[in-house]
Amino acid sequence: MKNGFAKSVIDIKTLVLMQLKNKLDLSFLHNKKKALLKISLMLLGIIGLTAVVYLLFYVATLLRLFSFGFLFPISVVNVIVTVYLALSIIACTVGLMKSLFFSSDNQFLLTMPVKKTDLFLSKLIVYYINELFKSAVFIIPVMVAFGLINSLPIYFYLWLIVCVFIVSAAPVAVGALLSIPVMLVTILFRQNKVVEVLSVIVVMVLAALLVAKLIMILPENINIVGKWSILYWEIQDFLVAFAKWTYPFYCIMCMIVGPVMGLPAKDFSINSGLLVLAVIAGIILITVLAFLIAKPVFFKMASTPFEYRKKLIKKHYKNHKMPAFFSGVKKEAIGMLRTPEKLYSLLFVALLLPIAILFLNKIFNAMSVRLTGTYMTIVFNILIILLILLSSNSVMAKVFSEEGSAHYLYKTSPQKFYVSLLPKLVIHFLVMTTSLGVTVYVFSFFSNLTTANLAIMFFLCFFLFVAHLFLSAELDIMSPQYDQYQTTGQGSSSENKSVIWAFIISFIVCAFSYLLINEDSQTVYLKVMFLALAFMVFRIYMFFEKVRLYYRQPYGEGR
Amino acid sequence: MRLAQTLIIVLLTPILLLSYLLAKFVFKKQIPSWLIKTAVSILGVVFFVRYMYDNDAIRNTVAGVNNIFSNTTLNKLAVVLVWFTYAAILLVVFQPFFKVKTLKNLVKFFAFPMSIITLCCTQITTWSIMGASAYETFNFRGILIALEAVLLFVCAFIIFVENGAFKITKKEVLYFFISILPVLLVTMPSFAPQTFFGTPTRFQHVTDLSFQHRLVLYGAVIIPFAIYFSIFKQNYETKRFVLLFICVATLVTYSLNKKFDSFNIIEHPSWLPLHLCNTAMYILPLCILFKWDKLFYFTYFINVFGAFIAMLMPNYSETLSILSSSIVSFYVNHYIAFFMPILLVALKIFERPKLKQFIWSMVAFAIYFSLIIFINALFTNFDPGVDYFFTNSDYVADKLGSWAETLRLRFVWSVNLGKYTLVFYPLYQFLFFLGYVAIGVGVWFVFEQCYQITDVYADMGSRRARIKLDRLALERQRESLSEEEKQEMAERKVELKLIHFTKRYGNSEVYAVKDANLTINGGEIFGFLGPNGAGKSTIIKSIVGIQPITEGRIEVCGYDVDSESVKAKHEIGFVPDHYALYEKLTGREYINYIADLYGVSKEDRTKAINKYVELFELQAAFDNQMKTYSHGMKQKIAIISALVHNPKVWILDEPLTGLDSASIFQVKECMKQHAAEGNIVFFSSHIIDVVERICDKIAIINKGKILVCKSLNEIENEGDGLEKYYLNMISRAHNFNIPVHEKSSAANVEVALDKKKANEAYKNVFGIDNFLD
Repeated sequence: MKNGFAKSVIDIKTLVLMQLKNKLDLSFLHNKKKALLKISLMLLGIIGLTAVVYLLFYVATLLRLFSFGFLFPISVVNVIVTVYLALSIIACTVGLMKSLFFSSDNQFLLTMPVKKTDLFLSKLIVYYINELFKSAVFIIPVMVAFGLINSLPIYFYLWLIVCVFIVSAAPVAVGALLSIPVMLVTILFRQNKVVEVLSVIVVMVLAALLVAKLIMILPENINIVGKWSILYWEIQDFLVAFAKWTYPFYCIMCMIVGPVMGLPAKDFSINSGLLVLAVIAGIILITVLAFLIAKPVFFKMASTPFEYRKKLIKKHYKNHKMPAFFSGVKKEAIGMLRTPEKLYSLLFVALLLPIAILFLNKIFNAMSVRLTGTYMTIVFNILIILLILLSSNSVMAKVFSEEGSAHYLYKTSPQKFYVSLLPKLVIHFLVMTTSLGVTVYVFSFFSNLTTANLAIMFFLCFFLFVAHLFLSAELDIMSPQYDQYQTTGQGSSSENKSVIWAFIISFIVCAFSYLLINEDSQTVYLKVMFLALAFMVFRIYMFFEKVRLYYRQPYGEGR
Repeated sequence: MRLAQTLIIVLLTPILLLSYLLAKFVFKKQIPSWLIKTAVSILGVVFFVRYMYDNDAIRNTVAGVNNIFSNTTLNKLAVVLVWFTYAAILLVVFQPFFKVKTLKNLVKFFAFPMSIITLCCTQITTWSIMGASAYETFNFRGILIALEAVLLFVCAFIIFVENGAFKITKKEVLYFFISILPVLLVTMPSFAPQTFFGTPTRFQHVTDLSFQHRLVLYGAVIIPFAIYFSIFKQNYETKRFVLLFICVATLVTYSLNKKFDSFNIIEHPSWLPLHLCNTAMYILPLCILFKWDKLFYFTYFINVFGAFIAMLMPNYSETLSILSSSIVSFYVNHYIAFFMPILLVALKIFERPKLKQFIWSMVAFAIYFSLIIFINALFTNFDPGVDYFFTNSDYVADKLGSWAETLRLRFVWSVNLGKYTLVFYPLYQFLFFLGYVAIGVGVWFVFEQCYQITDVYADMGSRRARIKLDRLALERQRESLSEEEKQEMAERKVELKLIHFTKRYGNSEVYAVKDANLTINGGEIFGFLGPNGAGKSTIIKSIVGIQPITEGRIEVCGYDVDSESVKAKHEIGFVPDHYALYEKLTGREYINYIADLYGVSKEDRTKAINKYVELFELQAAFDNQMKTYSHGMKQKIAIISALVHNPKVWILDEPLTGLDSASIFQVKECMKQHAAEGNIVFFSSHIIDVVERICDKIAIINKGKILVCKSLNEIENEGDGLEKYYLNMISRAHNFNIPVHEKSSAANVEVALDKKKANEAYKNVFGIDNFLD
């Protein structure tokens, strides 16, 4: 048994080192100078971060934001550390799920002459080490700054180092446990793409509604300075409530600094000792639970092949004829549903746009402004809408290059080129146009613009959106990167150019509008709208013309 | 003075006229061009001296109200007379130096009649220029006016007669009327608008991007585009003339306020035209005339931006009307400084600058800047208002903010030079200089972007023209066909033809394929052999439309692949060397998508899909996503997608790579079946055994040239197997100093060679004696 234990320790050590070498770049350790430099830079980074956090805490105490005395309360640090740990738990859950159950190196590791338990533990340890580094970079600066501002004794800092080792284990343990249900959900999603897509869309919509609701809670009249006395106590109530809701995390905080609300303890007590033991016991319990539950699942999943199970299709599918253009749109829709990451990004931006305008106008509405301010508000709204809307078009600047080798199909098919190319723009166009409509509708609740003016605003943004969409697509047509996408899946400079143009167009339109608005606020947007229409027509024409002239024979090739 | 003028006109005119007429019609002597050039040069000098001598009295006319003529209409007519005379003089002075047809007609039908009017109305001209008291005293300027009128008339007359008198075509009439208006616009004196329309108050406030201000700014963009598009197709001579004419004409307008007395540095030190944009008015015509490129690039990098900023933030009074002489003069000056350098490069009068030119321009700017600082410091002693290039005052600092003002006043350096004190602001002025250099770099970057855009548009234009020409050539070619050939074409014989096909990639000098000729008929399985990089894929990709053709033609079932690409592609099914499928789709979804692109009906596609799915045994996997397929299965899907529309020409690029034996067999059977139905199967391969077994005809290509095109029977009859024959062909084409001469026909290439030398070469390389025997 002793030998078995010793062998396990050696095996675990070997596996951990092997996986660490794969995960982290530790090549600098071979070179003393490099190692010294790297470590020095890391230390400098931590010191710098500590200084920045200290400054922020200092300013907060100076302004008496969270406390009447010149102290920084534990409840605020609790919020910071809790958010960090929550995010760490999410990251560890997802990471451990991938590492334990879906990692491609499992098939190699399973062939090693080691116990499955040791392999499982080695993966947890690797994650723990990774988490330790991350915690060190975040928790140490925050807590050191906290200690300095509250003049905590020296042993606090020594105890902090010990706590970092303990605290880093928490997200790993919880992540290991949660990775199982997440893994099951992931498998369900992989086997049923429709379920995945619907679930994600529902979650996104619910999250958007939640954010909207939170935004609506913002007061009608924001007067921070005037109502500070009320606001201060509301903040205090929130901090107390937060500590209650996140009690386990608060226990961890208390473990580090002492179980006193509002002011930190300066001495260790029996209570704090018991708290430490309780936290450690809790972490060990979760780890053991994760070990007992996850280990058998891990072995089963790790040895499952990674190809998708081919279904025995019993259903008889029919063949359908469609016009080439709609067939292309259908192909794009199918591809998007089966590779839903693009769909999620698109939906995220589509939901972000109205939410951003809602938030912006809620803030603006809470301020009292003069006529110039009203004009500026409208212009600023247009600017934000255009920035988000046009920036979303950057994906169109690689939409043809992403075809990779399959692009030959567009050139060999007996259709006009644009019949094959335009379907790639349709889904993005439809989703973002809908988002724009919703955004203008949201804006209508906050502005005094008439329906006609709102319609003008919508068409102004719409024309610019379509113009920029075709411009982005044209950038891709003129310098396609098929081979690059085929081999590396990486982007090209066309995306950056598209974003730059988005910014240029947005700022020019808004600058122009603002200059004109002082002369004639009634017709300024009508004028800009017609300019936008002309720009759109020009860009659409240029797209079709360049496809006609360059798609087969790229720019630079002569005859 | 009236007498003097009359004498000049009455005596000089007939003398000069008669001399010319006698020489031309009596002595039949050809008037040498140098004489005409000298005459117009004298006219130019006389005009210059007369014009610059003093201010013109008529420039103060506002809405026809003036102190010269009591009659408003007469005042306006006088302005028109003066204006048109300027135009006529400039046209006459330019004509002998530029061979431009329209210029010749402008002189004949505008300048010449105008010169007659000017001669007759010399008195009115004199009053307009010298004022109501013109004839009260003798004035040298009056003599010059008379001389100018005489010379104008005589020169115009000579040009009129020398260029065919009244001879003109309809097209030339049209060009005349099109060009007279811009000529008059460009030569319009700056006081003309205020003379005709006055200075209404609602057209004031030409600053702060007001409506009027924006109007003039739009002009700065629209006018150069108009000039560019009206002359960019003309030859170099014409373009150079037009731009030079504009520069000189606008210089005349600009000089309305810059007569000789402006150069009196003692009395008016702040009147010198030393501001950046002012210098551009003088530099540009000289640069065009003498082709001084170094000086030109100075204006190109420095003036353009300066003029742009000056137009955006003008330093004239807000109360001036847009029609006032000052505003017109201001914008004429700054328009030229802004867009003329750009036009000169865009129209290729000067080349696009490179780094060397940029460095020279910065050197020139440094010299100018140093000179200006010194002049400012010195002339301030005479006039505190001296502020050339705004380096002597706080004008620019004021715009930047108080920090700039503080910086300016912080470091002040005074130097005493005799009785004069020179004051410098070294740090401020140094930073000013650096800032402008940085702006020059920025301007260069902007110009480069604009060049790229214009290059693309120019390329687009040439491509459009080429497409149109190709279409016309095809139509002409079709028309020239005999009835038999037209009948054949209508029947759309199953045929694949390469006619002098040549392909070059980009601007490379190396040909990927050179002068390839092939004809393949229906029912044939055609094998295409060659080593790596020989040009097989290039030919295939050009046939199917992936790559354009450099020279020659490719026809598929009678359709030209270039100009009738859609119809040609309908007849082709293509299997690439590397399948590239949409792996998220199922096999069925993919094939249906391809069928939709080819417009295959539902019944036909169902029939074809069922047939090939069964043939390739894909029933179990057909409705699964293609990412779950093996390599062979994906290749089979690619084959089905190429056959779903039953193409007449089936092209495969190395289709058997990576397939197992059973799959190879299936593909071969498919190829035989397809050819048996009267279609063409054209495929390239490295597997000679397969080619030998199934092909009817083969071609061998190496280094872009088709070496041979023969049927397999012919090759077998020669005694060698395909493998030996292929190796033979390839090694012959390598460079072993074997003299080879070729005789080519449309379908075959025969190679004859020196047998003795070839055998020697084979012995050296392969160690085989008398190989060819």
